[in-house]
Amino acid sequence: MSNTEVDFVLTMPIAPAARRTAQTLSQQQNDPKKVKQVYLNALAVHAVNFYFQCMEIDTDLAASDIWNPVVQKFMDIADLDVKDIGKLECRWVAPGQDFVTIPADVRSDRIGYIAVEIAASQKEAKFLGFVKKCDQEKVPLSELESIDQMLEYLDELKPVNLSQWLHNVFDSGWQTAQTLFESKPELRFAFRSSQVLESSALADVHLPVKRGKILNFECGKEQVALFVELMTTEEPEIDISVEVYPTNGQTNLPNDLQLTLLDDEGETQMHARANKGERLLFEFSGEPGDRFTVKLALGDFSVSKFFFI
Amino acid sequence: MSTNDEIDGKLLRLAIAAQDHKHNILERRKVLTELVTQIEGFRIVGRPRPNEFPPDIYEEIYAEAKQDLMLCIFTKIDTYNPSKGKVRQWLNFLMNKRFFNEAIPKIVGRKNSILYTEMQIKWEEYLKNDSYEAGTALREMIEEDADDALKSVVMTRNPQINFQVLLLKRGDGMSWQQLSEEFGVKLPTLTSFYRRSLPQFIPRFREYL
Repeated sequence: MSNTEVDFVLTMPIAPAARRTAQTLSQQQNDPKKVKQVYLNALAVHAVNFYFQCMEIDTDLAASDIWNPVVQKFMDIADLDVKDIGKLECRWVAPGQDFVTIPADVRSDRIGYIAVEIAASQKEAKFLGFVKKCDQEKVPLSELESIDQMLEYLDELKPVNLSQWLHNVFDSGWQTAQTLFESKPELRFAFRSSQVLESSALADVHLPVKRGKILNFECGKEQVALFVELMTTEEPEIDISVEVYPTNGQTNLPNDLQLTLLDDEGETQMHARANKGERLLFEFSGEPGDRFTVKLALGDFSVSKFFFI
Repeated sequence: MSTNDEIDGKLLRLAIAAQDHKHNILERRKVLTELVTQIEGFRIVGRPRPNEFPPDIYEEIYAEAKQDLMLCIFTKIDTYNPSKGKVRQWLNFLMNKRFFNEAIPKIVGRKNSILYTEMQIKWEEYLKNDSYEAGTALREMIEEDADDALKSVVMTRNPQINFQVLLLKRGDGMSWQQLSEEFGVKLPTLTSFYRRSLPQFIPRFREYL
């Protein structure tokens, strides 16, 4: 989107009800500084929660630690639980300040940190940006990523619901091999040898269903195509294959590419290394309710995709 | 500076793009975020019925109405019909005829608690809070640790660290950074342990706020 002359910042209203709730919460504290800190924490969480409500991103506001006066006393916390994804920390920024404070209390177990400037009137919140990770107390606002990038990141973290694939419902970015060919002609070469893939791409209405996605490593140029296929099933069990192919006209995967399958406890179930092979393949089976993670690692960078059946 | 026509053109493009992205939720979210950003940036939504209410009440009503309008833009964008008017007209119609009026009874006549004023917020004072305020009673309770409950919560890999020790040192004003250095344990490991240990003692601490 070309955004000419003015760079506005997303601004959302803070309704009186949110302020009243925040104020009531804050008054459970005795320490006067803590009172206002709890108040501002609660305002930030409410503002972000409202934005997510608008965006139709499911949250669990009741699970936030802002409601717990004891936790608030001993720590400085403003978390918001994003359903199926994890806790996002909503840090308030004072009007005109050029950094966001991320206390040590919350520098673990978070999917990221969103910086929200509360207006002096306390009736508006400006969404300044976000960071995924942080190991310092003060982060300059200039180092934050955009809200668009946060939306992309949340979308990436959202587990893929494979049961929906059986009903032909696919999350954005998961395409048939054919569509990936069309949008990325350079992929064609990589797939030429794979008969199975081409035939399944033509018939994706019934099982087997196969969809793929291009995954980029943070280091830049390197990318691979990840395919997940739901094969024939014997209820309630379903056979799944996970395949990784090279892209960009390459015939072989990067030498030190590693593929790992993890269960919902984070335990490694399968592990393989590309060793310049043409593809990596895992086959396993699962049942409704199962969760698993596919992790691709290349050098210091890794990409994880989350799935549930 | 954009002319009103340019702004209207931009809002129209964004509104239509949002409608077009009905099935691509990520793109739709981005476009809607941009649309609302522009609407607020250019102050497209007017302020209906000025001078009818005391200023502080008016601001409350307006904030309430604005929230409902925002939610409407995000979730009901598909009901916007470009042939019936500009985005600007659609929004102001909704504000004037619907959301402002609906917000009035939520504020007026309600027994309103008095909210913090601008003067009551001393922003910079609340930033430095790497510790908690330990009053005498709380301090004694933690030190006494009647049934050894606090000290029995021990970090598995670092048995010298228990919840009571952390509470006391934090109460003395030590920062997580200092504690991390003192114990030779990574900061997130310490805070994670502290955060996970706390919930079981909530009833015990409740009267010491």
